[in-house]
Amino acid sequence: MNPFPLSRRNFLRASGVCLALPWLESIAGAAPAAKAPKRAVFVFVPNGVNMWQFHPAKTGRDYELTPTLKPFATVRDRLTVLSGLQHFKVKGGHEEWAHLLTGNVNSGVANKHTAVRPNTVSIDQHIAETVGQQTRWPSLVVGADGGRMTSSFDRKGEPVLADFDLKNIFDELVGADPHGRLKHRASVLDLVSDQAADLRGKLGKNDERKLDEYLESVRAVEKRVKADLAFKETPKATVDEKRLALNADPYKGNQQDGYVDTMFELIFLALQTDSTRVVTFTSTRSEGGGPLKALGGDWHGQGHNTNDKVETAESRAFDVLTAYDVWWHERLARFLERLSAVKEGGTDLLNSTAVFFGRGMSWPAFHRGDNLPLILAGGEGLGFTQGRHVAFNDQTPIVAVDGKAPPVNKDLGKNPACVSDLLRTIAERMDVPAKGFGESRRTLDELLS
Amino acid sequence: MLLTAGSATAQAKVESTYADTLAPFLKRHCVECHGAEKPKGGVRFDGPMPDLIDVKLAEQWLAAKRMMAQGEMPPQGKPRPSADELLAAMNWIEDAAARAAVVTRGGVGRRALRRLTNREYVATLLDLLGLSFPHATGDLAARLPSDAMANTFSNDSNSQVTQGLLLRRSLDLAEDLLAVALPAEDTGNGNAHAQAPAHVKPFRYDVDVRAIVAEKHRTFLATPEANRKGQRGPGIGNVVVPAHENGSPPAKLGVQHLHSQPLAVEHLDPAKGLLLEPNPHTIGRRNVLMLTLPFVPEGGVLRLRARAAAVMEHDNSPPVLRLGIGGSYGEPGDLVYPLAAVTVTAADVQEYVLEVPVLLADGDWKTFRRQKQLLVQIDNAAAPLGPTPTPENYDSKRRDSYLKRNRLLLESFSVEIDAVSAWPPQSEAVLLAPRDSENEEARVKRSLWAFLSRAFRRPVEDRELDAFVKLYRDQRAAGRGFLDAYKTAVAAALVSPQVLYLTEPRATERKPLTAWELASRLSYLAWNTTPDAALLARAADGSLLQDAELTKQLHRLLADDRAFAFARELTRQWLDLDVIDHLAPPVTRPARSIDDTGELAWYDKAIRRDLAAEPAYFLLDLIRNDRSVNSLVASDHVVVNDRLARFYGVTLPRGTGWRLVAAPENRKGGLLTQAGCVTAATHAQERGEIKRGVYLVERFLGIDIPSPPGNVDIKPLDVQLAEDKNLRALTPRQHLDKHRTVATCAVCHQRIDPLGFVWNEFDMYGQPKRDKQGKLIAFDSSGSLPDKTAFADFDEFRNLMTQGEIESRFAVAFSGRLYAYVLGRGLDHGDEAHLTSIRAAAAKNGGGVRALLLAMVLSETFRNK
Repeated sequence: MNPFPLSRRNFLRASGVCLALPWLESIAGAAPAAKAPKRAVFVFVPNGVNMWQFHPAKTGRDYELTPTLKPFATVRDRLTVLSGLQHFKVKGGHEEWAHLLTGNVNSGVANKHTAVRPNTVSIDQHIAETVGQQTRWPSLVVGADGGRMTSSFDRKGEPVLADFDLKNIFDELVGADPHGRLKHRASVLDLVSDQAADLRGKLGKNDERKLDEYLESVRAVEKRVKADLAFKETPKATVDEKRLALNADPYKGNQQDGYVDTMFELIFLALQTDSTRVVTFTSTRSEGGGPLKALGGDWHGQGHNTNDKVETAESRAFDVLTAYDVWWHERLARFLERLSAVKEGGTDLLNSTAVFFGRGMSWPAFHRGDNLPLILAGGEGLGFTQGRHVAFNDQTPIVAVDGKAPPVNKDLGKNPACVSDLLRTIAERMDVPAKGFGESRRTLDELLS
Repeated sequence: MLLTAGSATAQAKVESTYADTLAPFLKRHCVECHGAEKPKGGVRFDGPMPDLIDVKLAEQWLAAKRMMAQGEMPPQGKPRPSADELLAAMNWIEDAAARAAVVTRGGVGRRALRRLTNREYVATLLDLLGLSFPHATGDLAARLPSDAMANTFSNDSNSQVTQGLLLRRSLDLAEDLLAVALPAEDTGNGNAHAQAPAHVKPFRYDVDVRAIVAEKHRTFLATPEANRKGQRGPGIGNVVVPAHENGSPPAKLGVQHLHSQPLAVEHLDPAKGLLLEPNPHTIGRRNVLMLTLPFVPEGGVLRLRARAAAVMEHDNSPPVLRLGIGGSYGEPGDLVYPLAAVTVTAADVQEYVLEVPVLLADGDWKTFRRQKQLLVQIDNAAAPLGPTPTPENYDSKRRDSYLKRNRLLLESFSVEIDAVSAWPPQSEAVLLAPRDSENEEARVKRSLWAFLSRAFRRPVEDRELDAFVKLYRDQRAAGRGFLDAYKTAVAAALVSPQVLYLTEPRATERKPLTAWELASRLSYLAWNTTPDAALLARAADGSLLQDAELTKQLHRLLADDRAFAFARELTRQWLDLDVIDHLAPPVTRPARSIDDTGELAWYDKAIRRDLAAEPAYFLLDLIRNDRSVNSLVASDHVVVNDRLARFYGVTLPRGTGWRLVAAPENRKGGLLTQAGCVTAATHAQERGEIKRGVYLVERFLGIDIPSPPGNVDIKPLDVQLAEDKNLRALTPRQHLDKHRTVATCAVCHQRIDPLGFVWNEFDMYGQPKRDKQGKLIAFDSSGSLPDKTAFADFDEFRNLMTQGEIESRFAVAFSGRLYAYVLGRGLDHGDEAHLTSIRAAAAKNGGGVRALLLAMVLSETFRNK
């Protein structure tokens, strides 16, 4: 019998949860050999796009900025437009947010009565398992809907709940703790986890899984409290209040810009303070109302109404799609500009951050999943070459056939590539092995320098 | 006993189905490539009946099911199975997988530990802490990460997920509410709220509006015309309002009018006070009264006491007294945040009290603090009863009568910050008053014993109590004050598993629930919150375990106002009503002029809220009056409020609130003809037939339809291209017929599409379709049920749904849905037998919804664990 039983808190202290100081120019200056940490941001945007106006015809550096890509004019040399990528077995369809980052064909709610795990781990959580040990938050998972509307799935295949509350994210980010509650939280968490441990014996085997879920939540909050408390004592980046509209309501048309821009600003702050190195932003759900849909016109429904015909045949529907496409690209361009404006280790923050801007659908009428409209930005320090349009799977420029979208190209050429390949490449550039992730068969060396 | 016998016959049924349908199917379509010789892909289907508990086997068979659904298997060139054959095979696999899932869960009929849903948790916190803010408009549950699930109720224990984010936010909320319930620093003598806390300074500003108006009127009349500076009538202007407390700084009173409205002089009645026109925006700075406080409160309860009356001059909605807060007018961040509202119907002046805890008031507090002031806004939030008429019917001479709504008379009011809520007076809900010569720790132990027993919904065990007292003691030892230390212990209780979950300790064999556990299940079912004292008393003396008492309690709970929470939650989730609020385009026609746009948005918001609430009121009336289950979809009456009555074109009897009235001809389908259901089903799609079909088949016929596969193979497009060059020539019915020509699509669509025209009479918002001239359009709502029974019109459809009393198609589907909600888990194959006896018991008891609920509560599954 151990005469000095460790309390749980002592145990945590002893195991040495280590916290990184925020990455600041001054620190970099003091130790020039230190390299900037590698980061990844995954953004999911629902529905398809106006495919007649997204993919450029030319590949390489000299591609033309198509109408919906125009917002990227000032940052085009920091991003790559991708054509031709798709999932191999997952063919678009509904619930595309659930398989974008997992590449799992059985993902999300597609299987209503499944005895198999609902999903598999998503790439961000896979990366966070390794990289997350070095920052106070293993990852940051956010979205305007929040909760289960998330593209992030843990090792058990359960959804990682997304945070949606700008004010709370901000408070936690800057270590605000306005009511001074953090200090005492540890004792509260100690007590409830003891209660749960006691309960475990009485509830029976089948409830143990649920109780374990509770205990894991308690541990997660504990780690977070410790990290946030320690963070309060460290020097922090200055916050530009003008860029934060913390009360923006994503359901209101005139506040949507504010909401998304503020979310991106919070993501930027999280990266800049090295609070985390992995972020996932599942913007909003695909169907049926919801936040960020008030640009005018039913985004999902009009996608169906296009019937994948040429624009002149359904101009009203296509106009709605274009409006959303341009709006989202403006938001992303603003975020990229923000990252590029911050100096870090001789270059900028964007240089060490790979930003994946993904959609799970291309032609919206039938939810096609081929030739997905994807963008990869930044991350030059991770080895990515930017400033080009790269086509995979022998994808050719889009040409109408009989007044409609061209049919799906079944022949993916000699070196087929899938979205999982891209996700794996990002992981490996962050020094996290990901061979065979999802459907991956190779890495996308075409994107590297 | 019943279970083993049941599962033996069930097992035999599974085996015979396999032998009859699946084995021949496999032999015909699969074994040739997936047999003993060089099985393709290493996958074999020539073995005995698979037991899908084996995870690898389950994955193989589920993959096969998916490939068949998407037409990948059998591969091109091989004979295609018919849609019916495919369906039978897929159903068997799905069923087998479901059985395996049940075994993994610990056997038929059991469920995993069930966590309280967000709304249940919020209601529980408020009740435990003795807090009640009946007029507050904010939704506290929105602070927790959404627990809405697409295919099941949020109380489905097997699908719930608990993570750090949820726990963090729950703890934040619990602590915020505790700060409201126990705000005062206690000196150790007397009541907890005897003294004001150091950090919340109470204040009060009294405004005698009538006196101010009379004074302004007098001054105006006394001023010679030449000196009136062009003012046409008296106005409030800026008034300094002294504080009630000596030495506190004064506040400023001001009024904002809508420029286009009549002279200000009409709004000031020197005999009565200020008349507030309705605010023309959903919330904004027009037609409002603003009291600018010279500081920003940091805690406590913000309270508005107003003496007001309704001035009903028009045939429109009664005024609504609303309290809001905002930042400096005209500056960035000057948005107004509504906090609380109450409908004023009385014509004589009465006192109304609106209060909201500051800590829970949503607002831009950062900006308020920077500006060092808080604008408290009082306005009339009446929404219009009807939309602006169509351009063709718009008579500009009558413009005023379309837009005019009823005014709110404000005679006097006071705005105050109090340390605690004035009522309900449950000061001992959380902390008991000290007894003579009792030391602190004894008081804590006594209080915690009482609180924990209520919070845990059963007597607290000594071991548990000691742990919480120890937390208090440690906090005290660390230097914290008495109250803070105590609150930390209570906060811990509020996120402990005994509160957060319905804990039901059990063993391998099934046992009856204890009376305490039964009380919890019953209370969360009927009221969505923790058991009240009366129910806990029945648990304490064990009488709740008897049928008679259990019945009595269920009836008591259902008769109470709090049962509305049950009706609301069940209908909201079952019928997907949340979606109504967010669909575009607006429910009504485009605005006529700039002045109308505010009105339109206001009406739009209000009618959506009403559409989403109608099913709950309808269900509650059904339960209260013990109407039959089938009357949910076949009813001679509707339950509506003023706005919905106009929407449907019926005249309500005099009164306020939601009332029963005879249904018009085209609204006799209960829920089936409620505009809210049609709206939720259609999802604002112009061509919503498929969506409507899915909604009806899933939610009213209880048949689960899997999500459609992605259509990379574009069979529908091919079909269209091959058969018809010009799509527009097809009618919607013809277009949908295409689905049926391809087996893989037909598998699901043959069950969905024929129901898609049931609602052909209605547009996307549940209103009868009209042409551009406003005339009703002829419609054809014929179709057929999934079992291929045809119907010629809506009435025949409704009859098919309700034929057979409690064994009607609808009643069977509804009872399944209800049972899942009652049990807090998805149904498994063992439940069918239970449901049949439940329905039989309900039939003996009159066949009403209440009888059905009672039968479920009395059932073995509900009372055992």
